[in-house]
Amino acid sequence: MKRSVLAPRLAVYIAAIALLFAVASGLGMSQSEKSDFAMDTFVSVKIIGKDSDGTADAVLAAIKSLEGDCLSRTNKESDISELNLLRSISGANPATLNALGTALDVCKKSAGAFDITLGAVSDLWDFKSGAAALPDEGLLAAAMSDVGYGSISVSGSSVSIEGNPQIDLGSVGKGAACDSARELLAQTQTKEAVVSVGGSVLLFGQRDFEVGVRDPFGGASDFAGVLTVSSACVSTSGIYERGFDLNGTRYHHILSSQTGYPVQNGLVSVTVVSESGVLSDALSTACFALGVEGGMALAEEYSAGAVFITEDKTVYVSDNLAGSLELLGGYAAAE
Amino acid sequence: MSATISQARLSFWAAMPLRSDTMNIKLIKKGDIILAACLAAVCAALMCFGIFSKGELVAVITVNGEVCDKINLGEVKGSYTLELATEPAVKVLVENNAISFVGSECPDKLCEKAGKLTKKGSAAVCLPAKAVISVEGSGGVDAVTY
Repeated sequence: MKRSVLAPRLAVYIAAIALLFAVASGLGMSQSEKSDFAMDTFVSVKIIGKDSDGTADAVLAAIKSLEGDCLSRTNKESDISELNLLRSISGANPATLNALGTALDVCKKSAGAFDITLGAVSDLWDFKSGAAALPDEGLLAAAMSDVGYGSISVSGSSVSIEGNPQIDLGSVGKGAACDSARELLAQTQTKEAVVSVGGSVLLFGQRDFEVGVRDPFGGASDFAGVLTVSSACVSTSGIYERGFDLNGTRYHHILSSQTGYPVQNGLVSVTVVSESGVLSDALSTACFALGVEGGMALAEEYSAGAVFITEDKTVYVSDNLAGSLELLGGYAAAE
Repeated sequence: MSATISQARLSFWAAMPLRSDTMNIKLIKKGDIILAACLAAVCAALMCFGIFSKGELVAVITVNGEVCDKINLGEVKGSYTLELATEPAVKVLVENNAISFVGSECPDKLCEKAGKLTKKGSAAVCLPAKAVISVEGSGGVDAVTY
């Protein structure tokens, strides 16, 4: 009699504990945060999911491999380095072709305001040494004469360049890294992830994420606003990061494909939200170069969201982000 | 009675009625349910603690991708400077709820321009020294675009 009462009770306990273990192992949730240096910047990966540690390592490895095998201009064995040296390659990596193809499309749709053949021009600018010096005008003019994305031809996995331009995919590399991270994460049991490649960010997961848009006039903890986005890539091009001040002028790294000098159009930063990392990265530069009106039209063409901040702290937001951006102190939406 | 017992053994769910009419004995008492609920709550709390436990502003200092220090900024009284063993040398100023690069010997001083980090999700990087300071904690943004 006593045994008969105990048995079902014991069964309930065993079932309850088994259920808890099942739920716990089913979720199997662990959190990992890892970081490394790649793409000439700092990369951080935060992951919640099964085997988050292994996944974070794999994401960092994928980004390093994207840089080393595909996009780097310094690693001589990358597709882009070989292309710049040999002027023609075949059997290019799919990631190279994807980044190149999307970038070329943005070059065309921006009518050349965005151009990935500014490599030799940007090499003449030194934004890293801290020395505030302009490039030699003659050298700059010579380098500018080679610029033109139209000289690049892609056919299948073969790419060739006519003439002398040097391809530089630096303006899409961080976004391409976000894309390769997402591709990898989609094959894992990751619940959510935030991958930051410099200031280009991948938000991965079924929830809303808050992304601070750096205050162009403040420090790294100061935001002009906060964007609320679901799974997406967010990139920003701004004049405050790489550059120098000389004789009252800010010389920054967003170079005009027309002049070879930094774009001066009253903008201080452009942030773009897109499903594609390459696109968000390319468009942030392209929209910056085109200015508010042209940039807004270009973003719309790609169904991307865009936030333009001008030097007088006026903010222009695309319609599709109007309800997703909370502006912070000192910044006002354009009327 | 023996029929009732064999039914209970035949099927787990058959053994689940809270009260056996034939025996008029409670097979599962209220205490059992409360205990099971408590167990579930403790497990859930432990899991949530493991995943989301970050109540304070914590600065993480990383060199070459390796975490070399974690500082609870809320507990810092006054301020002090840390010199990181990097090339070029960089210094970090630790204050109550703030951390920043100061007096770095790197050429572009981008790390110093990042200013004081006071919010979760923000980070400052000295690329030449491969040194990073970042702030973690609850609340705040998930990431920063710049």
